[in-house]
Amino acid sequence: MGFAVTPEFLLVFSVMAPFMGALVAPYLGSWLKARAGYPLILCFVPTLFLIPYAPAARSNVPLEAGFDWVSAIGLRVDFRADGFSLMFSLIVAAIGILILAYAAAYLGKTERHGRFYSYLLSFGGAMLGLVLADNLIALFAFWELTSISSFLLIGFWGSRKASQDGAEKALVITALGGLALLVAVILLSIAGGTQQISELDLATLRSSPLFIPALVLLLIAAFTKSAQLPFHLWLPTAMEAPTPVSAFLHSATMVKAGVILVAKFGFLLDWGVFSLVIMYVGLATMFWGSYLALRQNDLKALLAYSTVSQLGILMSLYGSGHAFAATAHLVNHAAFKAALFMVVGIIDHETGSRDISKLSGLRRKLPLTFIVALPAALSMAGLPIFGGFISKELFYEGMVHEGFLPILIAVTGSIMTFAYSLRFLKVFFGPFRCENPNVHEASYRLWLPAAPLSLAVIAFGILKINPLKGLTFKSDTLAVWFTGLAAPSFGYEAEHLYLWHGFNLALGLSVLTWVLGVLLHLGRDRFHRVQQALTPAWNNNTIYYKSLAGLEHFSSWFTHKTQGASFATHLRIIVATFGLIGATVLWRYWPAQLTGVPLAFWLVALLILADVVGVLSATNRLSAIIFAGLAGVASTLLFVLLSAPDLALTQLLIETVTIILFLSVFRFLPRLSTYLRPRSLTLLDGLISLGVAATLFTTLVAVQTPIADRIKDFYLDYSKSIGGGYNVVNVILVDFRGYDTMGEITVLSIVAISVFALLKIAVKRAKAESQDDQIS
Amino acid sequence: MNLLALPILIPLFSGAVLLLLPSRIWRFVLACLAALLCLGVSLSILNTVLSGKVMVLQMSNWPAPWGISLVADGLTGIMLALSALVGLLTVIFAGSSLQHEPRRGQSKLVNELRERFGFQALLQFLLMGVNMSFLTGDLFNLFVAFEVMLISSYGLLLIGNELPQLREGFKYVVVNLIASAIFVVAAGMIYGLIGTLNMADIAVKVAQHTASYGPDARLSLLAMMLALVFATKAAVFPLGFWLPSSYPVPAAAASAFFAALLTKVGVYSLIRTFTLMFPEEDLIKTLLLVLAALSMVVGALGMISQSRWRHTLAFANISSIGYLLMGVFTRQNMGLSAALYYLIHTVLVIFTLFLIAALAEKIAGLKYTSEGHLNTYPWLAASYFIAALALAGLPPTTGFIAKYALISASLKVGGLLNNWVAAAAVVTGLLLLYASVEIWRGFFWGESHAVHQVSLPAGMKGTMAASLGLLVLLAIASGPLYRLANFAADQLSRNTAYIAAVLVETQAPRLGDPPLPTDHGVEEETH
Repeated sequence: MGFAVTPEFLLVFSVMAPFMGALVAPYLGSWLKARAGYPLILCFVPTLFLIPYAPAARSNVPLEAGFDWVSAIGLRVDFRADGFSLMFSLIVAAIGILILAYAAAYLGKTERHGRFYSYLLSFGGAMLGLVLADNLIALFAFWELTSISSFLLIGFWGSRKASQDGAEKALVITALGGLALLVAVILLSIAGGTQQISELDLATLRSSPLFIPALVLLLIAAFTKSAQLPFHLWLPTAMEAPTPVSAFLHSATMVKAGVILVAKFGFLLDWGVFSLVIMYVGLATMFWGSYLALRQNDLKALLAYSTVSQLGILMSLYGSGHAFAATAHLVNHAAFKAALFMVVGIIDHETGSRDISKLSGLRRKLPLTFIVALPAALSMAGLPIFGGFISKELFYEGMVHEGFLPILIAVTGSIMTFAYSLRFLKVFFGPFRCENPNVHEASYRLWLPAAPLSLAVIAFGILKINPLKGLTFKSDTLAVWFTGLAAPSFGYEAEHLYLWHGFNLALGLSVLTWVLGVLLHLGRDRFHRVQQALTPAWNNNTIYYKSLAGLEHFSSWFTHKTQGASFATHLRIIVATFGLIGATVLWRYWPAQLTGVPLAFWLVALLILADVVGVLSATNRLSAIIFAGLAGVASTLLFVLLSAPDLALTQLLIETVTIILFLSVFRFLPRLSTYLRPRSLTLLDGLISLGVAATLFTTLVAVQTPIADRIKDFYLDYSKSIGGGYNVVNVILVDFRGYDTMGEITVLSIVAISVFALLKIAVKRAKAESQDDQIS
Repeated sequence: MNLLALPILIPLFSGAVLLLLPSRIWRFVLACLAALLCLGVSLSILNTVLSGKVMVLQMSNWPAPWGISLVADGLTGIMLALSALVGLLTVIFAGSSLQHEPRRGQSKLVNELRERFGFQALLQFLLMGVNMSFLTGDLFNLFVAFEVMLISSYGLLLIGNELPQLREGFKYVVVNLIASAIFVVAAGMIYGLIGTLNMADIAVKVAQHTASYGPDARLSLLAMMLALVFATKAAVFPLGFWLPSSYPVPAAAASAFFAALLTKVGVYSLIRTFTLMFPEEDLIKTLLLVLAALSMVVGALGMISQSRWRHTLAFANISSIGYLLMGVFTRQNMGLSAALYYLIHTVLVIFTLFLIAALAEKIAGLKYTSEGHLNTYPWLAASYFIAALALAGLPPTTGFIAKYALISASLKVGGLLNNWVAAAAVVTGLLLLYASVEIWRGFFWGESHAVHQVSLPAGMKGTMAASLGLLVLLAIASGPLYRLANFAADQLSRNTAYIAAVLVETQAPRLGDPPLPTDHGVEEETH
């Protein structure tokens, strides 16, 4: 056939496939129910077919592909499978596949399966896009898409208030970072002159004043998304999501987006104070996260805070330039944390509880789950032979280079990490205790998807396989191959991933960590009491909810103050603006040439003025109308003076009709005295009126000397010869500008139609109502 | 054949005939046909102007600047197509929705009476007024167009005689009449100072005057008056208080059309004023840019403060006007193209959201706080979600592209003010998102009490789906669409083609020339 799968197509397709899956998921879901997860696994398979392009990425000639979206503003959807991107997209796809398989067993019969898979796959596509994107705007777009799908997934059980709050909080905070990212990518593309990430040039960027603001905003984005202090508050409440979601988004993939951002733009951020800020924010997050993890009683909450803490490790490592250690830990964490979340899901599913204080001895009832959980938890604790140990060693080595304070925080945080890992494992040990006595081992469909992750945790350290024939890597463990993929992105050599590093400082610190960790675990009750005592009255959740309430309050107050003001106030604003306009140029045209105005006009003006004063000071409606009528008649005089008798006649007619109309509706109106305004307002309105008069007067004076000849002569010349009439005004109305007249006639007709409709409807409604009354 | 008068004449005649037709079905069929025809003509005009040609029709065959010119350039083409498209959808939506009760718990008598006593006809007249505004090349004629638009929208606002309609209608008409009064004063004074009412001619004379004498405060004064009028029509803060209380009160179809298009006529007029007639008025532009930024924020805050569907969306409309004007007054082509793209996007988004609001009101009444409709109406939820993403400017919608383009243009031009405006746009994005999420939480999430499922008319659902489909299509076709916006913006920034088409192509008789040939003196009926 003519169609061949080119590598470029494969790259684009691997991002698009999950989105396509998201479109069919609703139908599959209503057909296959939860089991729709199995066929949908196919959506992540195209990504796996990118593995053969790993050598190319390894030798720094990555696969690139993309298409134009809005070329006018440089918006291209571009993908670039460089080493790091490829590595992480493989993680996303692999965990995605396992999660789909897990969810197919996890979801209950009554859930909305189609919707769930649709959200989950949209996320998968967005995450792959985010990782692989090589265009700044596309990167931002995928970034926001992950936030949106995360919002939907956290709120999947939207009937619960807690889910709604969690979803909204996650969205608001990540969207806040998203906006920072939006401005950051715009600034970067302006400063760098390109929207392709791979073409950004550090020297060009550094010469731009926009560079530093861009970096600051970039960091805010990264910190919000990866739940760094002080933005970490959204991640624990995101645990309202179904557990497969927590395992996928909120531990293994999405929360790493901020870290990825820092890693991808590491070459820009590797710069004095930025490195320090990232490192210390990361370390602080690591410390605080593990401290809070220790005090959780909910297994899922424990893992959530643990994730916060581990993200801190990753952030500090990438920030301080220890990309190799960071990448190794990134891989490890994705594996063990996803596995642990799945385990919690199984425990929850089988026992109906996630409360550490109510569960113990589960290994007797859930032996296979326990076997899966053990390596993952020990890896989290940082014990050898598991992957976590290796990367923890690398973390220590890195922090030792950074000085005393970093390594101190690192070790203290790790001690608490060790302790909460033991606390997690405690539910499997001891005598069996559970509120639900009928606990059985979960179906293989639940634990089997978690098993490969636990295997990976073990394999990371010891398994020697050659994943693809023909690869010539210096070392041959899976972990080296995998972390080595990212090597060209950071310029490191992945050669020394060994369990045994010899007796060095890192090992000594590890031993210290274990010893103190065990002690902390044993003394956990006392430590817990200290934590309780130290709990402050407020935290950043308080700030978050207070600010939302404040926003709501301010919006209502502001809108009520402005929108709720009286109608008269609104009119005053418009009219006063008109008054102000003229007043601004009044000074310039003040000494106007008023001497040329004939005496008659002055008299008419005086007459009108007197009438206006009469209208304003009238206390009953009849005299007000009479004065208004007089003012009208006076203006008729102007037309007479300007030798336009027909217009004068028209004006007189209109004035008369108006007065008759006024008098006829007179008796329906309330007394005028009920509308008398307070004195202060009278003053204000007087000022506004003066402003209006000033504007009109200024304008009138200003236009007395036109900037170009008025076109009136044409009408005088052709009115008779072509227009066929001696009265130029009439010819203008019916010929020169007959189209205007057509419009005005239409206006009058519409008025008639509307009035007719109003009256008819009023009658019909009254009739219908009286009928209703009779019936009832 | 010159089609330019047809977008005005088709609705005029169909509106008149609609009043005579005795049955609802026939009225519906004719209104649809007229709207379809109008759409065809508008698309054909758009197609012609896209070649770069500026179409001109001199009414009554009087040459410019003495007669009234109808002109269509890229911007007019876009606006006509938008109004025809939204017009057609509104006609269909009205046809369906006016057969049923306006919202839950009401009798359907009100809507039936609305339909019977001229709703469709008034809608056609409104379309006529809107198209007149987009097509005219004459300032006073623009005033006439505004009158047609105002009075037919006032009719639509009142028809049905509900108490809120009568109360808010009064405010609506008073504010707009004041604006009209200022407009007519401004038009008169402009004739007094510049000696002409033809926009192209004004442009030429203002440019000549400024070139030889430098800036003239009198011109600024008049430009400011026009700005005041059009900004009031566009509901720019703090002149737009009339909008949020009046747009939600008429029949749903009217609300949707008003929100989608009427304020945009104000924006359109601002664009014409400050690209064609008074392009050098930098101070006024700066002032309007500041007001644009305020409108964005105030609109979004207003949205957060409301709990009724259409009231909330009315504030969203104000916010979108802010974004639109932000682009218009970013002082460079880049901003203008972004604004025109945003314009196309926002017309459809606001329209779609109002249709969704109409459906939601049928389900649960005016407020969106009745919870739990996600499982009962998943398609409505999905539609709302997509439209809300577009409103808040999130990917992968047109809103995202528009917001990106606007902020990027603003930052590229740079300077303190532009940076602040860009910051306001960014923050407003977050506020809009929050407000949209609150609606989502209030209406779709939550405990579902689907005791009585309301069956929604297929016509209403279909129109909403069509409108949403268009929105999705626009997102996919954003490449060509943005080029279209670019083209129109480019044409606006270089007025030569417009002016040449209006003034030069006609054989202007000079004073003292022999009278024009007598066969010219045919009356305007031939057009």
